[in-house]
Amino acid sequence: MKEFWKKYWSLPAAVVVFSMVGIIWPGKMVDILPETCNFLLQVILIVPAVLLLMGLFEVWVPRSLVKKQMGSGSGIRGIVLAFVFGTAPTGPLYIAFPIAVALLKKGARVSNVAVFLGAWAAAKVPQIMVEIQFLGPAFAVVRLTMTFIAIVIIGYLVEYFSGPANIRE
Amino acid sequence: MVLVIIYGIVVLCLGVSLVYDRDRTMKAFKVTWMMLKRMLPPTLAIAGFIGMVMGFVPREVISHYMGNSSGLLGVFGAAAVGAVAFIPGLVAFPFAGSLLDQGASVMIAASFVTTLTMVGVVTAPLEASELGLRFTLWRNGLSFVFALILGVLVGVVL
Repeated sequence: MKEFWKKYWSLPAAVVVFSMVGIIWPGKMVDILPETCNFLLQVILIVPAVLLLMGLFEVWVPRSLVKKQMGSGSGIRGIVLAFVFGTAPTGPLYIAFPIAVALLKKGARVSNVAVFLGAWAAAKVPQIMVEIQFLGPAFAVVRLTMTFIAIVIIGYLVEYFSGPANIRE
Repeated sequence: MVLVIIYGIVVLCLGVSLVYDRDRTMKAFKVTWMMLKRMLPPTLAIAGFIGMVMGFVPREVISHYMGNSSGLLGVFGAAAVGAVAFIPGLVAFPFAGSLLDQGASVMIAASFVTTLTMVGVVTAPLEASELGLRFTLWRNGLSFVFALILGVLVGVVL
């Protein structure tokens, strides 16, 4: 039960706030409800489909495969692989941390692991589709191009500053 | 258009998956349902939040504080909110889209979604316990700085 509240606290909190607003300013609900419903509708149209794509990827491409392929990668090959696996339709960033640890233990370069995390966070294919849908193709292309460049630079800087020895316990 | 492409890809993948392995496809549905359940509460909360922002905050206020006139301080603020907020990426984009529609600047939207996806203050303790404190601080810190630069650059280009 405690676990349940920890996971889903935002929902009852939102309901309480929403009802209070409705009671205090009933007139405002005329503006608020359509906006809320419109947002939900837009999200419902796209998010379940994207999640299904992620679900399919998860059962067909197990995470162990990602670890196996990335461990040996170094140099350009390593960066490319880091991007390929990072862009795959997978879950949120914190799922990638254990994979990153496994990669480091297998001898992957720190910079590649940082690139992998960056790509995982920012460059997932379904996420890009959502970005195009809601922010427009021009915005998505410009932002993502710069993000790719930034991810590689960040990867090397992280390796330079934090050093390989300090990461492994 | 994007919707058509996404649904096309989904139907294609689903079809291929069903043909090759029925059980595995059912497992995929299960995994999807788990993810959907996890995402639903924050999504509903954000939907309510958006409605209230639209209902209470006049357009002029949004475009004043989040528009082009907000300058670097606005970009920094948006990046900071993105770094701290724990919103699923898939919901963050429609959220940023709504802000853009209401007059927020492109710089703000770009730096917000960049830190939101790449910097995680909430998940930093977890990251540090797995990858070490130095790695975590440098990765998140550098990502934050680059998100600021990137936000400004995107604003300049568009």
